[in-house]
Amino acid sequence: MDSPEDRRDQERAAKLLQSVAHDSRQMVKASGNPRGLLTSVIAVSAFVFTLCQAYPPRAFWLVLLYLPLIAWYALAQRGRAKPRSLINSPYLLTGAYAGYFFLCILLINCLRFWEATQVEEVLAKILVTFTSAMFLVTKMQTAYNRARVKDGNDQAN
Amino acid sequence: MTKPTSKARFDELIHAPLRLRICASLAPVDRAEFSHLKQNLGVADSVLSKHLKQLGDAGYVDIERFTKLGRSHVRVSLTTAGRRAYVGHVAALREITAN
Repeated sequence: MDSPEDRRDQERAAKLLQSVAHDSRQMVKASGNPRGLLTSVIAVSAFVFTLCQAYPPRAFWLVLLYLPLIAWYALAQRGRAKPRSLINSPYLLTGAYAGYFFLCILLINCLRFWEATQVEEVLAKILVTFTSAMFLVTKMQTAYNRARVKDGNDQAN
Repeated sequence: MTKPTSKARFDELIHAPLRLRICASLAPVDRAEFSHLKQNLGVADSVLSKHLKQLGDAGYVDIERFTKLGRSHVRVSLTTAGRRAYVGHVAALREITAN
């Protein structure tokens, strides 16, 4: 049986590990892209994807909507911590990240079969695309952040 | 869980709570600016500087000063030795909790 001193050490070590995980998570979040930017990219993509399919080639100029987003991205990167390149992350290739990535591809392909022509249909398609893409990309981002925290705490090279 | 690439080794220098937090913040990034790190940890400049100096003296962090658009910046990163010591220390803490 553990002595009270051993138990105290275990509790202290557990608390320190919690603090380590918390600080790493905070830094990963702070060094990533702002949530608003991600939401805007998905909203613009849902809009552009749907309209380009519904009204080609008239809607192709909508791609210009990405320009302010690129400027926002460039500004958001200033002064941010540079993320470490992942060295050994089986979580990215075999885990939730890869699963959600393939679901994203599947979603895009399925949505291409939905030919929206009426205004209500187009609006419904934009909404469905945005909601489902937002869900999948958020899940991917969470899995990616988790892999970065694990990588930072496990990989010394 | 992935296996740590560094052997479990308790490190007295890193074990101090704030220094451990500094290393934990720097572990998932290549480098971070001093102001960003300070904001992440929620500590005063002087406290962070003091602990960074101790880690720097041990060769665990690299502190780089540079000027950009007339403003001076300080950039901090974990060195290879620092990363190895940190990963080893985290592995040692995991061993303690597993016993």
